[in-house]
Amino acid sequence: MPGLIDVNTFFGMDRHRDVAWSLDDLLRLLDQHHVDRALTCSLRGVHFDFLAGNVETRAVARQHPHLIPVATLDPRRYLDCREEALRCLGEGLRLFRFFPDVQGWPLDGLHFLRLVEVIADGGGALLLPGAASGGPSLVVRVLGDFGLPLVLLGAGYGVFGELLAALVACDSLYCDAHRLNTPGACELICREVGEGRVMFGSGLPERYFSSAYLMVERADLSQAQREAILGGNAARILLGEEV
Amino acid sequence: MQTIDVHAHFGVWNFPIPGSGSLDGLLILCDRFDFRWALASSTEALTYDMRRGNAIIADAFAGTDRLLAYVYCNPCFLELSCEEMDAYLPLDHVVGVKIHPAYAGVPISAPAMVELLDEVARRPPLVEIHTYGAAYAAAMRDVAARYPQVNFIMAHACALDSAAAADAARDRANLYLDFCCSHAVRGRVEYALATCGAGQIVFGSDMDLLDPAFTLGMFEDAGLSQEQRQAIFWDNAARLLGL
Repeated sequence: MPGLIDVNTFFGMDRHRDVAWSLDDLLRLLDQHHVDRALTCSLRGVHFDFLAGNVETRAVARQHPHLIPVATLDPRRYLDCREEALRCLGEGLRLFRFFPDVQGWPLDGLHFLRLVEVIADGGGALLLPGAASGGPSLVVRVLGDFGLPLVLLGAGYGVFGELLAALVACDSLYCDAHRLNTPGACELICREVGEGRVMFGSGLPERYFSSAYLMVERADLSQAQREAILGGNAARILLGEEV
Repeated sequence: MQTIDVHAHFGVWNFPIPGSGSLDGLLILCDRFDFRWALASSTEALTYDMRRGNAIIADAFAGTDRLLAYVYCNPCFLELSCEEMDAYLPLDHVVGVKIHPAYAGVPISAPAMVELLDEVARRPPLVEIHTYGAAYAAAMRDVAARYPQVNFIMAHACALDSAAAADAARDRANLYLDFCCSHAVRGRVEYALATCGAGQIVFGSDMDLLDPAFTLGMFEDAGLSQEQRQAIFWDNAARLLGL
């Protein structure tokens, strides 16, 4: 049994305000909510230096085996990006989370696509923001042919129709459920494309864990569907485990 | 526990929500989440036709023992809004006024809104007003002072700026906060509990646009005492409704 796997967490700080997003906060919250494993990355790599951020993420994961390291790259830097992607893949780190919304670069930028090529060749997977209107369609159009798993995080009701169409169009596309907050959202995804396409993500430590969790727990799903969403899919698709 | 939901809607949304817009759909959600009463406004009134929307919801809710209606008022149509209040507020199952500055395109401090609020305050009202952002908190502080006899529910508690909403509620005893929104940012409920106290917090779900589980999760993680839970989920709303 893969247990409860959270595909959407991070740790670090916010330069605009005082927040409780430290590693200790994350660990405490994961423990409090009985999360078995969590994909995570350092915000240092998002906002400052992805090389230093990835070092931090890897170190934290070595120290806390239930944290699964997710690397990040900022394609704007160009220099070091390809080498870092190869280094991560060489070390067995195959999950890469990108933040074009935060960093301000286009998903169809050639500087990004050359990295996707490397990650796809290395058997990696991508986690990407899914909240913006047009985002799911763009991801499918630009990245769908690479064939690697693509996980959209944070899609909400405003793009839910677009997300469903994107899931239908692209077999390698997945989503997390933390902002799919309309009644029956999980049930509808299961009906349209099957339970294998949605994963549990909380947004910890920024978001309330139970907002995401209760929607899955209280949804009208079979036990098998619920287990797939809460951990089975992430284990199978992102961690390469047999479930 | 049995709950009064002060923020619901009746009518279709242009998002993929199975069963949206039906009376049965709302009642199923009431059953699933143990809502004894849900107070709803018409989506048609909010988004298109005030008169028709108010008529439909008043008619549909007349035969239920679970659903209570807000009459929607639009500052762009002052005279018609007054007619709507006079037509529907005398009905037992119409318990207050809904105002949505964003849908109407009229800021809270605009002259047209002031004229409408002057009229609302002449009736025996409970007002649920959409608030989204810090500017709404500042405006509601003034509105609450101008009409101390009116109780205002600040729907969404200004969303990401809920600290400003809580600060306003601390200073104005006739401001109440409901926390439903798509941003389940950790700490917003706790800040309000520490600032204005549980006595000015009510439960609103935003169903059937949002899954009630999403907002329930925020309260679940906020570590409420039994007394706070009782106040938020029942007592405060019951007091506002005169139950």
